[in-house]
Amino acid sequence: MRQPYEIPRRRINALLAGFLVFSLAITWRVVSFQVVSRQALAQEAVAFRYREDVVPAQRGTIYDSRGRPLATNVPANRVSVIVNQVKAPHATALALAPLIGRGADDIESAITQPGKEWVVLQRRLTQEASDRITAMKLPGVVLDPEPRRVYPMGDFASQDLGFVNYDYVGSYGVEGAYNTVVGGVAGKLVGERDTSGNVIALAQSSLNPPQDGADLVLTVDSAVQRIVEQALDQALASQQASSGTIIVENPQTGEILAMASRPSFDPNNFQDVTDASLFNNPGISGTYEPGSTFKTLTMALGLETGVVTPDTVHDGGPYRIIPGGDKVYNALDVDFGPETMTQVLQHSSNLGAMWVAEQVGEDRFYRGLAAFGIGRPTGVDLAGEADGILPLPGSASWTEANLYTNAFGQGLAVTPLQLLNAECVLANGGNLMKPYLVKQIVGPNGTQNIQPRVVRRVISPQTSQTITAMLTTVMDTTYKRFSVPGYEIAAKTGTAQVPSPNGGYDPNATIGSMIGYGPTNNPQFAVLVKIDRPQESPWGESAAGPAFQQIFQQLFMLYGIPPTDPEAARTAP
Amino acid sequence: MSGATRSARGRRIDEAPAVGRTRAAVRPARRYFTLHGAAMVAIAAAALTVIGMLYLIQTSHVASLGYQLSRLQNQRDQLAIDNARLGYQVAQFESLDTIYQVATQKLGMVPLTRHQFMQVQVPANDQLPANAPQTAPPESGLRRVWRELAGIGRGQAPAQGPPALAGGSTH
Repeated sequence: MRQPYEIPRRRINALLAGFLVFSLAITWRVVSFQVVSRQALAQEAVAFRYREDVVPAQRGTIYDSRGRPLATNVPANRVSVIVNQVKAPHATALALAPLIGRGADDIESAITQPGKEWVVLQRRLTQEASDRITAMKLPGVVLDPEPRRVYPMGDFASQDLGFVNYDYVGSYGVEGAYNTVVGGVAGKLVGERDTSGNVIALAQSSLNPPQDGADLVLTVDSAVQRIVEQALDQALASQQASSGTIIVENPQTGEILAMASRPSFDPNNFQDVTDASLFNNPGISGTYEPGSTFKTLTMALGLETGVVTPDTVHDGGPYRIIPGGDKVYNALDVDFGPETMTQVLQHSSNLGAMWVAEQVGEDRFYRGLAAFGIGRPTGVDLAGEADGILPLPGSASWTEANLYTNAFGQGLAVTPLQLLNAECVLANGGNLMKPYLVKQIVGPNGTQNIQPRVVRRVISPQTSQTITAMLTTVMDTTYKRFSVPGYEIAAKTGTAQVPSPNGGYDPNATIGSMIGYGPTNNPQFAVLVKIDRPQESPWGESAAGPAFQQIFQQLFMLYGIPPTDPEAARTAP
Repeated sequence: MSGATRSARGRRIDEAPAVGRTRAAVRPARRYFTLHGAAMVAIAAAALTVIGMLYLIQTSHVASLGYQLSRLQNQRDQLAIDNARLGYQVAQFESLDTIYQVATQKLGMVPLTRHQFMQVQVPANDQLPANAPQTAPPESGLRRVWRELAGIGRGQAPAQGPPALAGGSTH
């Protein structure tokens, strides 16, 4: 008979078996973790605790020549969603939609995507939107800061500056050309993290510190840039023109004081630009036939080679038949009769310019143009500079007629900066300067000052003085209404025809331009105003003259340059 | 011969054996306290506890310092962010459009459209009134001694007048 306290043997056995199975299971799990998957789990644990993060370098600030920041950095929040933590996707989407500029349906579909753990909904939020999202405390919605490049003056000098794209890489303009200098080098932080992902301060960590980018100081003077942009806007509005470019260069040094083109863009919102060609800087990448402004170079070569003097007289007649059989006339088919070389410039005589080029001769004429830098990049420190087009004797695109058409600025193409830089040769005594936009690089290892660089001597100081005197006469006579009273300016206008896509020239389109420098006793500014397809007046004088005058007037005032004739300045209306 | 001898200095030395005296000199050291086994265990446990407590206090202090450091770093980062935002605001306020709007709309200024240079005749140096040499007032001997002791120099007007301002332009 079994005792009442006696436990049945089979129960004990069952209990033992159960315990054994449980023990074996535990043992297996332990062995599995510690032996079988040891390496993988250990790596996972280390990866979880020790995370490697890229420490972004601080991008340098870009200043104008007066120390005013043109491009700097501010942190901006990025809103993301941890998908499995979102409790109510529809309500979350409705709450976020008005704040981040995306549709509620779009957001809801983004945060309910199968297989996604993390979705970035919007970047570069405004501070107000960030504050409101933070206040809502939506489950699963995370804000984290990322650097954002900002341009405090909006679309000011935008094509000179370029922009920084979503990957924080500079594109176009100075941002693109100096990306490696201003962008710095990112660092790396490997550190043990707490459960929130923060680095444990006293735990082991290794930091390869980032190298911050250098600050850049531009030659661009924001005051001059503003003068130029305002003048350009007014000129385009009054002429109902499609586009235009104005550049101001210091002819003594090659410093670009201002360079503006329209249409342009706001680099703060580069993502809204639908036409990527707006990012290009027409001042260095757009080529055009310069027309009569080019006669200044032709005449300078005539003077330099000694084939003409300002008083040399030539009678070009009503027209001239050039090789190939084409007839070339002066503008409006005017026959100027006998004219001096100064009058050739005053009348902007095509036939006179052709005669000068003929006297100079093919070889010297084209060597001279090449010395002026025509047909090749100026080397300005911006990306995307065009070469221009200068067909040379012997090349397939050159004919004998080119010598004659090139003399008055047709049959070749220049960039606005190329032409202005060549004009600076006339202003500064005969040296071709290398134009530049960055004059100082302020890095962690010191400051590098960029010095003006003479590329080559092109004409003699005597020729420079003579052509300057001739162009001053032109300004004081032909373009008197655009002069600045009391100041001497050397200038020339140009009305260029626009090549048609179907061949020949578009009869309804011109490019009006005016180029010059002053004050002529010590030229500080060389200015090119170029207005594309003016509608009110096709002539360069009317299209570009008012802006040219306005710019010089304000430049003299801004830089406090006294007039050479104070009485004329005082009594001017 | 008697049982006592004399030393070289004539003092008498007892000839009795010195064994008893030697035993008295090496008597056992006095014991001030005695530990039983249980007391030793208790003391060891207490010592371990104190050491453990110290270790814990130190560790928790280090950990709290670590958190404080993290907090300060976050604070510093936040201040850097705020500083960047303020810098951006300053740059926006310094932008020429803003300055123009404030000047014309709030301050009632008008754009300068015309200016005039006035010619003035600059007098030759020998026509300029000579600057009276500025001499320092006399000082007491006590003050002079104090000045010398304290290493305080005494200013004197330059003979050529004040230096030109840096960056000044002449038009």
